[in-house]
Amino acid sequence: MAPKSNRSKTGFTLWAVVVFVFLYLPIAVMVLFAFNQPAPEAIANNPGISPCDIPATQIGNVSVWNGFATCWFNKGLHDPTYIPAIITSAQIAFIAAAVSVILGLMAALALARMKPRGRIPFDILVYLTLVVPEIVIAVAALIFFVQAHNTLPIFPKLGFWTIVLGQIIFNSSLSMLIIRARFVGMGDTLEEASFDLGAGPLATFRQVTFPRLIPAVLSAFLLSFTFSFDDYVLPAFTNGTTNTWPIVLYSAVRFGITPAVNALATMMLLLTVGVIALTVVILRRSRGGSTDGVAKNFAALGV
Amino acid sequence: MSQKEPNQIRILAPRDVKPKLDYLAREVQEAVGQPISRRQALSLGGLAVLGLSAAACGTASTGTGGGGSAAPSGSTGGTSLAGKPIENMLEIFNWSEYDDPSTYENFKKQSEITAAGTQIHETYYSSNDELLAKMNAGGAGYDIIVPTQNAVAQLLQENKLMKLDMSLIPNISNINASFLKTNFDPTGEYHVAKDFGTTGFYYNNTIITEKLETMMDFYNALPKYVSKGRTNVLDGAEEVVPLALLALGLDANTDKDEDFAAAKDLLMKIRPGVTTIVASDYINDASAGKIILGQGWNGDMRRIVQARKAQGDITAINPTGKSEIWADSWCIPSDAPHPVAAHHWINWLCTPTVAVKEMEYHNYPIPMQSAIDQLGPELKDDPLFNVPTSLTDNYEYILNVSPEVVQKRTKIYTDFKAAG
Repeated sequence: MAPKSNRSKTGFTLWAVVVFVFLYLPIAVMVLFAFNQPAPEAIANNPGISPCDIPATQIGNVSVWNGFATCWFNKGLHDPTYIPAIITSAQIAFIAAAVSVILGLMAALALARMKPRGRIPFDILVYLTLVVPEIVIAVAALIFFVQAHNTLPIFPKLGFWTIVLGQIIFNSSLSMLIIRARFVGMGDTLEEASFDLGAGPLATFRQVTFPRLIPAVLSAFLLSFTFSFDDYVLPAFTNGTTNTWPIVLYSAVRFGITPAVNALATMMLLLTVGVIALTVVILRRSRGGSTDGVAKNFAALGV
Repeated sequence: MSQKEPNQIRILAPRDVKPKLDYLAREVQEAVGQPISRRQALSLGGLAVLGLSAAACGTASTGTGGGGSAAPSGSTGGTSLAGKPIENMLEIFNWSEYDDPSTYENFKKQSEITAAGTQIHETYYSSNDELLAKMNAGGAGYDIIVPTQNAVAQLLQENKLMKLDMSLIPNISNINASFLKTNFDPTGEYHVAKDFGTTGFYYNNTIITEKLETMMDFYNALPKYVSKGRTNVLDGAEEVVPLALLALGLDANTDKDEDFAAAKDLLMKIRPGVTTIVASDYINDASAGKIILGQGWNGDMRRIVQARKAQGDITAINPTGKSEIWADSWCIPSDAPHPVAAHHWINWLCTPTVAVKEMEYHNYPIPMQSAIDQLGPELKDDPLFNVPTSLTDNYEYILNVSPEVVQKRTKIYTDFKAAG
């Protein structure tokens, strides 16, 4: 029987390899092309300057391999457009995710314990923001924001804060659904026990409900952050004079995206991997070495 | 919606995004579910219409001019800005990577700008439709925009552009005369040319040894040489049909049925000679020597010729007779919050020393003879960069003149693609 099980084992390994290649090869190619050179004719046309200082309109075809260069990382980090745009996007994503999680948490607690008659209209509203195509929300938001600012000058002009507001519309619904799923799944026995033992509603929330919801809250935060960070449609309509990272990238398509973009993406990838690794280590420590808890937490996070 | 017409959006670049925007436009239209005028539905893909309707019902602005925003000087137009102080801010709405970084730095170093303390802030967009949608919604506060000819025509029609105060742009005298008044801005008072490009064709001179000179020569060569290798024509209803009209010596923006019939005849006749119809990534294939005969934009053909320099087997032609020209322009929105600074910006870009730096950076010709004369031979003497004025004077801007024209073009284009 041994040969047969060996064979199926090899088969599964092979399958796993194929799946991983499918998933990660594009990322590997992206990283590789962060080290690409401009087209040879572009270098010939621009003698005496560093290959990475050749204007984007002239670098030629960089989707084929032209040679090895490391200067794009430095170029990307000093780009006067990309870096501020990335920072703006990160700020927007962070604020939008934080606010959304708070709103989502409150809504989840309230809606989960509501009578159906009161709940259903709210449920519909929540699902509506997720089901309605984003482009429709974007156009509606644009019209609303412009008119709101025209009638009420204290309402923010199109820009950073209107992007944040737009993101919160979508993210709070998403957060609410994630947190509520966990909350409903938890049941109310522990909370009742807490009440029986004399804790008030606030103490129960702080000591019993919230700690058990943390994985869901974290996962809602991370998902919201990711959605907002790379969202194009909503900011494209509501950005006014604010550049986000996806908007800058889209606009760069006309005159050529340079490997500096790959370099920046590579650095962001490393940062993400680093943060995840750090989280795993911290979680493992806090659980006293029990990998079981880590696994559970990450399963809950969808990682 | 009883009118069922294809929702074509006129886009010059980037081509890859076009299907996506077409789709988005359809989505919006369906989602809105309100009657939308055909012209706008077609040209703006519905996005702008929403902005318009909002502006109309929101501020209940009287009359047609000005749209939703306050329009300080746009509708009146002639208001002189001379003598007004330069503002301390300049909001530019532009394509990214489109201007030399030194242009911004040196602009701020001029004494009058330093004195005014003008800061420049730039935001980026990725298609003319995005620009139009935002301009129609209003409230964004841009001082400078960079529309392509079609977008200029539409903004002009909707009173969204400020009549330029030429007393603040004395350097416009440097711009070649044929770029001042155009079919998209007949009075020449609303735009200043930023740069331009043309459409021509290229061929493998080891296979095709006869001399091809006009766009008609190109079309006639297609069936003759298709057996020798891959041929390509530029994709898009707004390319295929107008280019055929131009080859026939007709008006690219015609609305006459007999003209369209002639174009269709020509296209169907040469259809067996066309291997591929792509506009987005022909550069790479042509650079690899895979295309023996194809249409292309001058900047792209320049790259192809450079990439094939070692083999020397590609000849690129700026056609004699009629062909296509496109141009991006500097314009000021009618509700620009900092119009004086914006005029100074345009005037700065019309300075020959600045234009030289710009062209060396982006490699698109600026119609300014005095600047082109100062360029190095690799640009000045390259006809694919410095397309001779004697040729461009015969070239025409392709516009979406009316929904009917767009519809007729699309019909022929669809048949052309489906055949063969």
